[in-house]
Formats: sequence, C-alpha cells, structure tokens
Amino acid sequence: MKSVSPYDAIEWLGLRLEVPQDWQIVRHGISSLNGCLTFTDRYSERMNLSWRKLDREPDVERIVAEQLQRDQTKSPDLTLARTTIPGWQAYRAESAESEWVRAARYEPLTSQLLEVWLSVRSNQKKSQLANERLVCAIAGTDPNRDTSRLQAFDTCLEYPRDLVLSTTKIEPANVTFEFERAAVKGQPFSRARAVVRRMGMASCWYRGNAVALIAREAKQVVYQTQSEHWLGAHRAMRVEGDTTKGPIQRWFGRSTRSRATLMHCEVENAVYLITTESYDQAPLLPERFKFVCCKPIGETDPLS
Amino acid sequence: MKGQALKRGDQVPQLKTDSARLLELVPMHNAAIRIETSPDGLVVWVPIAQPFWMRSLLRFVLPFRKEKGIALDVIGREVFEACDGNRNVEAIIEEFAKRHKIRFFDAKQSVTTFLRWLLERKIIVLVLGPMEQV
Repeated sequence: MKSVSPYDAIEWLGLRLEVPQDWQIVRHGISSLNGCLTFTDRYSERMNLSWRKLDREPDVERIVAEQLQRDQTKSPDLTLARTTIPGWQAYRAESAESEWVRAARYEPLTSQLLEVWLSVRSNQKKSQLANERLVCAIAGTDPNRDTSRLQAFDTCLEYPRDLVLSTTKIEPANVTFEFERAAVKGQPFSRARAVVRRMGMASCWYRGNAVALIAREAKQVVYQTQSEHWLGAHRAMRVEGDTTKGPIQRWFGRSTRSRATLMHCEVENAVYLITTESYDQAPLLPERFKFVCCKPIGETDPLS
Repeated sequence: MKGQALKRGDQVPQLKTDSARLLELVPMHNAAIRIETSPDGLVVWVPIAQPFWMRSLLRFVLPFRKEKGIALDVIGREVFEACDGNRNVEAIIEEFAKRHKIRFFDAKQSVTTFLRWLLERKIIVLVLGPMEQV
C-alpha cells in the first residue's frame, strides 16, 4: 500500500489526532472518562496523550504551572521553559539525555482535559514545527454526529452511537473490538453486543470459505440463513442464526439472534468480520457498521 | 568477531539488548543444519549433541537419533530463508511487512517471536555488529 501522507489519522473515543506513520499505539484506554494513548516509534516512546472528563472547565494554566513545578523539583537538572503552541498551555524540558514537551488544554466538545507529553529527538531539533503540528492536530470530534468513528490499529470503522467500546484485543495482524449497547430503562431486550474483527495476512485465516470461518469464530451459534451481497467493492457473506441457549431461556423468549458478515479485502490482504448478537425486539444489524478499507495508509480522512 | 576467553573472577560483559540493538542483529543459518525442501514447506535437520554415554557401546543397543527434524510452513520458510546473513532483523521485518501488507510493528512482533523460536532450536544464530559493553 502506497502512502499518501506521512501522517496517519487516529480517531479514538471521540478524539482525533495525526501521528507519523511509523508510530504505533502501545497502550490504550477504552474509557472516555479517563484514559491514555501511548505511541512509540521503532525505538522508543514518543507521545502520550491522556484525557480526563471534567464537569466544568478547569484552570489549565494553573495545572500546567503546577506540573512544571513538580517536574523541576523531581529533576533539578532539567531546563524548563514555557513554550507557545496555539491553543495549548505548554512547556519544554531539556536535559543532556532527553528533550520533551508537555502541553495541556481543555476540549469543550468532549468536556475533557487533554494532556500531552511529546518526546523530541535531539537530532530533530529543527523539526519543532512538526512537533507543534502533532499537538495542534489533537482535537475532539463533534459529539452530535449520527455515528461514532474508530480509526486505529489499521482499522477504520463507523459504528452506531448507542454502542460503547467495551473490550479490545490487539494482536499482530489480528485486532478485535467488542461493543456493547446497554439496556434502555424499561426495555430489557434492547441490550446488544457486537464484535468487530480485522484479520490481516488473510491467507492465514481464510481460504475462500466464508461460512466455515464464521462458524469457527462463533461456535455457540446455529446459522440458518446465508446470503451474499456487496459491501462497497467487495463481496461479503452474511449469515444469520439463533444463539444456542437452554430450553428455559428459549421458553421465556430470551434466546438472542446472531448475525455475522464477513468481507475479504484483497487490496489490504485482510478479512473483516462483524458479529452481532441482539434480541429480536431491538435487532442490531451488521449493516450498521461501516468499514473503510482499500485506503492507502496515511490518508487523513478516508470517510469524507 | 574475535572472542576472548574469560578467567574465573572476570566480569562477564553485558550486551545491550534494547529494541534498537535487536533490530541491528544479523540472523544467519547454523552451519551444522541440513535442509530438505518439499512442495509443502521445508524441513530443517538439526544435529543433536551426543553426550559420552550416547557415544559409548550403548549406541549399538539403542538407536539414538543423530538429528531432529523441524518442519516449517510457508510463512516460516519465508522468514527462515531471509536469514541469509546479509540482512539484519530490521530489513527482514520490513520486507515481511511489505509482502503481507501489515504494519512494521505487527511484523516485528511476529518475526521476532519466530526468530526467537528458531534460535532456541539452534537453527539460526544472531551475529552482532561491533560488541558494545556496558
């Protein structure tokens, strides 16, 4: 895949940022209340973005001044100086071994306090503008959009807003995101669950038999119907069936329906699998998830 | 690379084993192995070190095997063949990532795990650049 831009767009829990293509997420939080994203390049940690949900706007200047004071007390050999990054309160630290920038700001769109720590390579002193660009690009996304977007770990996905990311499993060329929809008060059957999986190196997983792969992934489901359709430029297999539950659960109408869609993208050499499990009263269809594949890595906004 | 024998009481040199150093290492085949190719993959035969009692009269009674065979699948073969002594780990990972259209970091995790597996079975050796002592 040929890159278009040297930066990769990342969108995670309502935050959007751009990072160089050779950076990778090594730690990630899945709660929008409190969490962090840590990036490394091939050799060392480069950036840490943390967020904290707050009820009202804090005094960011004071927070940064206190942090600067703490850093100075902790490491007296550091040379600390305030620096200007538009929209952010920031300071720069220099020592014989390292150089880094710490910045913070309040994001009103998501009501979060954002704090960034960015390592600056000594041989990249001239690229201060590039570092500034990284920090400036961090922003919240519109919370009133119809769908939420997740763009990380080679996956670009739009999912319904009522779903919340509950679990992630990140392995080499095998990424799984699990979403949950909590039951609405008074409607116990509105609960739903979805698992989205991207499997790279497709030939290791998939040899053309979509139904077999789906059946292998969801052993507790008896799939009754199957149909082929097109998802963008790719042919996809959609299957539907009942989740095997005990007779008492079935008697009380508590058995759920499982639906799965599998799509193979030859260009990305990847297989995408969406599995949903919901009650018939409030079905969650795999069609509500939208993948963006065949995108050149680095394209900043493939969904637009 | 020239080695120097250590005497009792000498401090054992420590090697830098950080991520950057690992990528600089050059993997190459163990000269003692034997390779058999087949359409499905490849079988590597690694000689088994025989202790003195195996080399004694016992060998006429019990047929000890002299080598063990390890079969590699298509992807394993690809990485094994890349360990030709000309490329370092970083170059092998980059090539692997490009061929399979995955990210460098995904490839790094898979390839380094596999290289460690090959190393434990004495199929490959890792050659260092200039030795650095801490």
